[in-house]
Amino acid sequence: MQAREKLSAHLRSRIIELSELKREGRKVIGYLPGGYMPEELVYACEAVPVPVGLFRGGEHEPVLVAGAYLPRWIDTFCRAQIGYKVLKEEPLYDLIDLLVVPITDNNVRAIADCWNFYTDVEVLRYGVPHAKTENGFRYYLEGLHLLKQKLEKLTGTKITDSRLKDAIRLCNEERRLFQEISLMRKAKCPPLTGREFVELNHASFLIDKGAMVEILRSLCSELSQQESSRPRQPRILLTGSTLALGDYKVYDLVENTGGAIVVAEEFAEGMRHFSAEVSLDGDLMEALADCYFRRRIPPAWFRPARERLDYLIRLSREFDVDGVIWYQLMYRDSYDIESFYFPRILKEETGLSMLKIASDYDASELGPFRTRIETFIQIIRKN
Amino acid sequence: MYSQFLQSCGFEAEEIRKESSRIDRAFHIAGLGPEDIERAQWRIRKYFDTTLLGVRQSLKIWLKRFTDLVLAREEGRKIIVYPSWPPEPRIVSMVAMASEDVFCETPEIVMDVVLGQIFDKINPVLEAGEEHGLPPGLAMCALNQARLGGIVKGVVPVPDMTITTSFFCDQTPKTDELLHELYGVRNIFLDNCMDAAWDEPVEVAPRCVSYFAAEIRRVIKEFEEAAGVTLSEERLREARAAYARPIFVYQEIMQMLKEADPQPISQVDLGLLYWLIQAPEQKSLKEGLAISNNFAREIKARIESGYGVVAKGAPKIAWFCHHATDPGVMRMVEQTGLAIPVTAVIWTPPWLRIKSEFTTFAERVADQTVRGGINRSTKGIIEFFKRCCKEFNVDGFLYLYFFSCRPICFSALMVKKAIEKELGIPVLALEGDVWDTRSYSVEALKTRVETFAELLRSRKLLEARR
Repeated sequence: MQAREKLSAHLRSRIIELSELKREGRKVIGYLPGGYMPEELVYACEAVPVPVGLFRGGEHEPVLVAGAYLPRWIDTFCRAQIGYKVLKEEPLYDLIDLLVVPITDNNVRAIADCWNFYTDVEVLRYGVPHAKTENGFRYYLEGLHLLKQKLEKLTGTKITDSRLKDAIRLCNEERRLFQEISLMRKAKCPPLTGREFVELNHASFLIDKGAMVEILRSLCSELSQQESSRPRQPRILLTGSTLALGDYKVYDLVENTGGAIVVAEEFAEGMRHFSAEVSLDGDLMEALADCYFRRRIPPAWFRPARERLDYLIRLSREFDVDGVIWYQLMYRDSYDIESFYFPRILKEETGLSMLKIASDYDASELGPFRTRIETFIQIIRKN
Repeated sequence: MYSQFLQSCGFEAEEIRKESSRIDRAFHIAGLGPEDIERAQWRIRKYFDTTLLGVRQSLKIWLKRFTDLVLAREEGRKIIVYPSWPPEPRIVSMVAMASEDVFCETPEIVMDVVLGQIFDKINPVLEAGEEHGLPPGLAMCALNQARLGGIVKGVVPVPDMTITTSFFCDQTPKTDELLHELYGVRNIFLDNCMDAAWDEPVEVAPRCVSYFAAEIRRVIKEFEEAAGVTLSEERLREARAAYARPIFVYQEIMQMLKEADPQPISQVDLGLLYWLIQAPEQKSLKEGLAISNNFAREIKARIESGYGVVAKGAPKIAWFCHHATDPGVMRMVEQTGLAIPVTAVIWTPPWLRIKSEFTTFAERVADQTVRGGINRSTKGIIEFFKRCCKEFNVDGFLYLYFFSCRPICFSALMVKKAIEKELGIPVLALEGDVWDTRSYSVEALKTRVETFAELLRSRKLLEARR
């Protein structure tokens, strides 16, 4: 497929492009890809957003290295981000002029604090309230204003309404195209696998937004003409705390070994959220806060977080799934607790079963994961 | 049947006569039998100094609180509210003082002190919590396991509502959501964000106070509607003052301990008071000040007489938080010859001693909480500990941090590195838990603490020779 080849080419050259952009004086803004940092603001001041915690995940060495800096009882993904920075194997982590961390829970706060304590990178925090109250909305909006001021100061570029509108239009278009591609997976034979979709989603964090939109347009057109005569496979909804780039073991086990297909995902971190678009009417900052906070499906650390569980049930129905796999990282306590009572709700509402697996990015997990996933797929296939 | 035990816990004969049937009933519900009473008596003799009136009064009030809690539903208390730990204690005081119809208690702390410290029987409660959504091996907080496990085991009644702070800890509000899913309990969450800039460890951005104050007002309103009570500003101020008075006395006690040599009282004994006033309910709010004053008076008398629980000239260490379930841990540390003049968690740093510019209850509480350091940020925690160690002129910091408490554990190594580098005193960071001793034991810690004590003694000697 032409679109995918173009995408691969862009990804291969992106780190060189970024280095060149930085040499030219463009600022590189690192951020935690938890869906609470509007990229629009970064684009509107002509800086380049780079998701720090996304670029890599799924490897054990950074997790081990992080042990010298913080105890193991913090979420694996968050520990890994400290490990990657220490290992200095990933050039992207050294390009960052400012790290933006929307503070969601203590695991994420640990990343911000460790970067502050152990590195010279400037870190900007702003809080993400844990409830969608009017107070919470206002506080999040104030946080976005702090971010805007900081970006303007750092880049020397004023974020005007006109620039912001252009950035919103571009990002909305990307979201709309992702939505279109995602909805194609409702088909009996989805035109792309779960792994292909998530790789596409991850790539969108890295490459130039304009180029990404073009690729997505081409891909939409290619996929809509694609015909498949494969038999129906067991369909999986994959959900959990974080899905980092490179952490594809569950996809591989489900789709290669298990003979099933992931048709929908819901993750708090690591995946681009595309279900809501930013309005271009009224106050644009409020519109950003409305989309990124008020209309965002909340993660498990919202109180209460039932909205997300209801969304999972809706996704299960709309995408005609046969089972849910709950993939989370070790010590993400909010998810651990939810995973205790969600299977009952899921069963009552949809009759579906759920498999929970928790990873510490350790290669030794693969064997047990394979056994459990294969068994789960066999069970739901029978059903 | 339990007269001797109750007497050792400060009950007078008349009180025993009046309360024994209720206490018997509560013990029966909690599964406490003669063997447990025998063990409790032995533990009280071993760990607590019941020659102190303050200690006896504290033990008594803890047993009364336990009885009230276990029997709250049976005795027809109309509205049962469980605030959680870590609390915003002034909000807890507010709820506790709202109305005679409202029964407000922090069950996990009551069970930790009574079933843990006194009876050494907290583990079955924790295991019940583990079986119902807070599994072992995932660093689940044992305090939350106690909160849940007590209800699961039927030791404490299912509450009508919970009130939980949801910013310092992520797990406690989630545990309350679990209570909602399992038992239909109504949850009220008090939100805030720990998003202070790294270079602002104690300064407070007005927007942070505004948000938290707005949340406090929202929670008050929600509680008023749910409980059918009205809380005037004056009532709220009374609640704030009722909480603060014994805390002021406790600060005076710490000032005495700072100057005292030898250390006149064990922190194990003071821990009974600490938990009493930091997890307030109606009885503690009414009697806490008198008990604090008794402790202060008795400590003063001991200082004047030169009485000590560790040797004169012993190295001084700062400690983080009183052990909630096992009095043996702090006792062991003192037995290695280390004096503990301060447990940092209740110490009031200078930036909290200034008078708040705000006038309303909500804003004053918000301002104080956000400025608190520990509730503010990791840098706030570091500055807080540094200042505490400096002010008490300690020779070292023994930081027993709770491995299952995310906001505390992730900053532990940063705290250690910062204090060692900036103050030049040794810090022993021990991974432990004050809510649960199943993953470690006094014996396992002892070797390391002894080595640390030896190190501090050597440093002290060297400094004296210089």
